[in-house]
Amino acid sequence: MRKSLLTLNIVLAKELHYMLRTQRYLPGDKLPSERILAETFGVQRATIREALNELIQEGVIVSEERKGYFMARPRIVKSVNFFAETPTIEDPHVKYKIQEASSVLADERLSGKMLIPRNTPLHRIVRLCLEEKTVIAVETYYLLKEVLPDLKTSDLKSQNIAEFIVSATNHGIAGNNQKITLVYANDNESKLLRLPAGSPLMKHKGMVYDHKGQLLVFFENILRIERFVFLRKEVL
Amino acid sequence: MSANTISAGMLQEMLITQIQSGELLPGEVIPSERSLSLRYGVSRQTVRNAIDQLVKQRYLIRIQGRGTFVKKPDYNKVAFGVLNESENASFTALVRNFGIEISSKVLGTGILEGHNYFAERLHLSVKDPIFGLHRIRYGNKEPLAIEYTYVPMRYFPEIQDYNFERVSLYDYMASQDHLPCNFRETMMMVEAGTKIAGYLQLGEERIVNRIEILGFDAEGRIVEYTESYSRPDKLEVRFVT
Repeated sequence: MRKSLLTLNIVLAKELHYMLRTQRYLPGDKLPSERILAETFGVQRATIREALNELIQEGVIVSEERKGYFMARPRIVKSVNFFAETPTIEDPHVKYKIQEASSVLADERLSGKMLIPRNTPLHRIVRLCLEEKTVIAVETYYLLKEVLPDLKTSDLKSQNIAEFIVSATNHGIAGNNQKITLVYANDNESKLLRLPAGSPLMKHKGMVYDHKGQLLVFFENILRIERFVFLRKEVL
Repeated sequence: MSANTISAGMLQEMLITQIQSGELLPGEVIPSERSLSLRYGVSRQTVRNAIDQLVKQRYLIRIQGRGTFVKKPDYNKVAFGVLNESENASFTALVRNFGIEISSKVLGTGILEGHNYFAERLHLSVKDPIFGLHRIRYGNKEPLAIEYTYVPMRYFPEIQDYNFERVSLYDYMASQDHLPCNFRETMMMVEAGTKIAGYLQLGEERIVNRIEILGFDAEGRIVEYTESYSRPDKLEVRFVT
């Protein structure tokens, strides 16, 4: 390695990451000790510890006191390209539970957010996303009844509801607008996610339109920060 | 959709679509009430209601005696490497204010050889030299993001001679005919460690956006790999198509 002015632990963390991947470490596997890793990479233990900390931050590994370092469970990938040629891969560890499927009329807030007249009839779907037994996301969807009058609960099991709506309505997507922000759990979210009120969470909000500019779906998902990664694929 | 079914709400949506698709550009004057009412076969009162709503929602702005204009965005796209310098970057980070002046501080640069991880990411052989550039990006002197960028030196042989506190990396890459214009990105939130928290001058809130970007040039060659950490209170992560 030629001498460089880049911070060593950042670069080292990447090599360590590569090693773990190519040596096929699986979630839950224990990493070699700091001492062995330091020898492998020919660096001080303090340096390897910093690199390990980098990987903890990235969520690649976790550290357990007095036990060592372990491979973390990979995050659930959420694609933001709803209409990519390749459909979303269903994660086998993730299950969904419909919390609510009801009919509502657009109130002031929804009419403002969705830019529809007040009292427009909507389907409102609230769905919990579970990993093993832990609720990791609360998803809320609003769809115009006019766009999809008959909605069956069985239709709501697919991983990506927005994607489902688009295929069910046959409208095709012309555009979408999504935003990912940091929010803090309100009472309801903290209850559903079993986290203290005020805990940091990710909010993934979005709108999907068809070719006529007709809004198809509006969603607001609240997600546990440590369990998700968003992916935007390159356009080939 | 037949003309007589158009409500103020629908007209509103149509106008928004036109604004979002760029048919109506920021700063552009929108058609008069009269011409909108003729075009869509609605009363002038309906047009007025739709426009009132859009003014309220800050899509449009009325200027006395001059007309109604498409409002310039409340956000300024930041000149953040990939996050902005190309229109195709879609996980765009946007600053929530007007008139942000962007500057950079170079934390370190260097040539990396024999690095499996970066070589794999950039689709290079492990012997190919890679140039690394670590920067802090500021908006009005406040730190907004840390960017760790890696590019293959085979496309940018003289990259070491440039000072990327003064020159935009993307301007330089464009001058070498390898501007990234297509991206594969991942975004997550993570808890910042001490170093990043220090650079970004974080207070109690340690959660930051972490975006990984692979940039492809017009010929589909990988020309950039970047990891960025940014403040969620200063930068918004958006995906718009």
